[in-house]
Amino acid sequence: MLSKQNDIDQLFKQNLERFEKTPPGSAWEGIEKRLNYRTWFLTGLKTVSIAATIVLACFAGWRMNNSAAHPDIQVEQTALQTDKSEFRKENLNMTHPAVSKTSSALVNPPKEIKIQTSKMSLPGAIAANSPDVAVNRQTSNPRSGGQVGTVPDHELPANSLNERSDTGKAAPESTVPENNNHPAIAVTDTKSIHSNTYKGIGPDKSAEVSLVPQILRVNKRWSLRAEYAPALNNLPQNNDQLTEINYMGAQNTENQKITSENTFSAGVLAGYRVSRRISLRSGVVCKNIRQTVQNSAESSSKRRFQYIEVPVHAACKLADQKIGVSLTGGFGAAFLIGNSELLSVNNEPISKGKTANMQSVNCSALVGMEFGYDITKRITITVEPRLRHDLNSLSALNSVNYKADHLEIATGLTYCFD
Amino acid sequence: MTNLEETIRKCASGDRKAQAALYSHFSSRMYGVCLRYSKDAGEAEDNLHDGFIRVFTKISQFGFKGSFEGWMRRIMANTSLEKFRKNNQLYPVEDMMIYENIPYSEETLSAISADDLMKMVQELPPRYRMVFNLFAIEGYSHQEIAKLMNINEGTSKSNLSRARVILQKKVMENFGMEENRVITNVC
Repeated sequence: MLSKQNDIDQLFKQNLERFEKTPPGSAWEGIEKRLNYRTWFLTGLKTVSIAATIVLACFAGWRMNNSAAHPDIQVEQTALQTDKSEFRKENLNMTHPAVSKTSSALVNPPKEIKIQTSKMSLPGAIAANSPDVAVNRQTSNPRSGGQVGTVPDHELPANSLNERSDTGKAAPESTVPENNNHPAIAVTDTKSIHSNTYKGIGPDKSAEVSLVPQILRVNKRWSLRAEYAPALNNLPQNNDQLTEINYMGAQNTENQKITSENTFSAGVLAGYRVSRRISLRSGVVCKNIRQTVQNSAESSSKRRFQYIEVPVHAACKLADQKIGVSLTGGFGAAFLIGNSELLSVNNEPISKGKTANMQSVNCSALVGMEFGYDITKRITITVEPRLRHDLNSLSALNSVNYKADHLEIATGLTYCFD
Repeated sequence: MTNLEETIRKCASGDRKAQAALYSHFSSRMYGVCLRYSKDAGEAEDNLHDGFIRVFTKISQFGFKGSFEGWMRRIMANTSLEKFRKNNQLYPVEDMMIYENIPYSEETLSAISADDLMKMVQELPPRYRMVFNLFAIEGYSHQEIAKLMNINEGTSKSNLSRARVILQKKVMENFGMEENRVITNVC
């Protein structure tokens, strides 16, 4: 006889504690399928990780091996390694092999000449006493056809420096005399590359300034970017996507009307400049997709999917003016981490559940055009309209083609490291 | 199952046959646990699915220090609880009545089957169902339940009380017992 309230507990405990019932036969099939998928996924992940590690290691090794061949680095290395006494021993009328190598390695020899001419306002005395004079006399004037020679300061034309100082402008390259190996040219060039010691000396500051960003820009290889991207998408208006909400027969409703709401993504990406024009970016981006599903006149539900995306983007710089323009493209793999659906009847929330049969991983491709403006030397603000297309359906059901196109306006701040 | 320990070790190494054997041995009992925590068979099957996936992925962490079946039961219950917490299910607040000193005859008790009782539990609002299962059947204290479900201890007690009232009412309705005394209306 059960006469107390707690006896209800006993009644249920006795009958249900060891309750057994055979589950449907399909249950094990589902578990096995999931276990197989998990095994496959983990194996794939390991393979991809190993492959990525190898590729990164090879790439890093290749970059390290080739770093000496980089124009800017080579100029410095050559300048450092060149022994002035060795040059003096050599007949300076002949082009030293190291010099010709350096000259040929320069990507933009005309620019070097231009820089040099801009520095001609330096006092000749400084140049004459500098140990780098001989080296740079040779490197600075490759057009002299091997007729390179030391010219003492007192033999220089008195007005050869002053002319340019007076005008305050860099003389055109064509105006530089073929045999003009003024030491000041070379000294200034070497010093500016090494430490910019002479920055600000002389009237031609505009030309000096033009040198600095070139050197810094090459060094800015790594960058960090935070971005926020509101997006419009064109998810299909009708589908057979099921809902797990088990209320009022709302699931598997035919003729559902789906309205896509504006969504957004936000994330952090690390960037690496592969060359002067090409850069790569990758990172982690949180993405949201929101939809409203009208099941009937009274019943509607709001769906929200959250993804973590790992994008790999490449950017090719088309213009590097005050406002930089780049063409961007890439791929992204988005992992579903959140899936919720709120069912409402007459705008009153009734129940909460999930949308069923969602694909756990979605891949997409994108193209875009990035416009960047340098706020400071290191910080750039960017706006990037881009089009993204889902490569696989959002739904795991074969019958549902649930690929979406997105128009995103990504705004970001990029910080460049040295 | 001849050697449970050996089967568990094989399962830990990913042996699919051992996993199938373990599943066939325990699935009925675990399905019973899942049914208690779910509103219907479909949800129970989902919980069973997720629970077994978790069992197979975490089985290497089983230290052979206690009952393996108890460990699996806890996993199934936790899986159901996590799903409940995640979905934060809304539930209707009903008018309820409190009864006391209800006479049950032996005949009535013998007429009630486990399936009937399971159905009554499944029909409870989700939060009441969770609290009733944890307290009345699993033997957790209100303090433990409050921690598990992220609710106050008082809420746990209140939910248990309401669950008991609903179950009493259902037992009486389904098995012909008369309502003796209605004490008060709640909510």
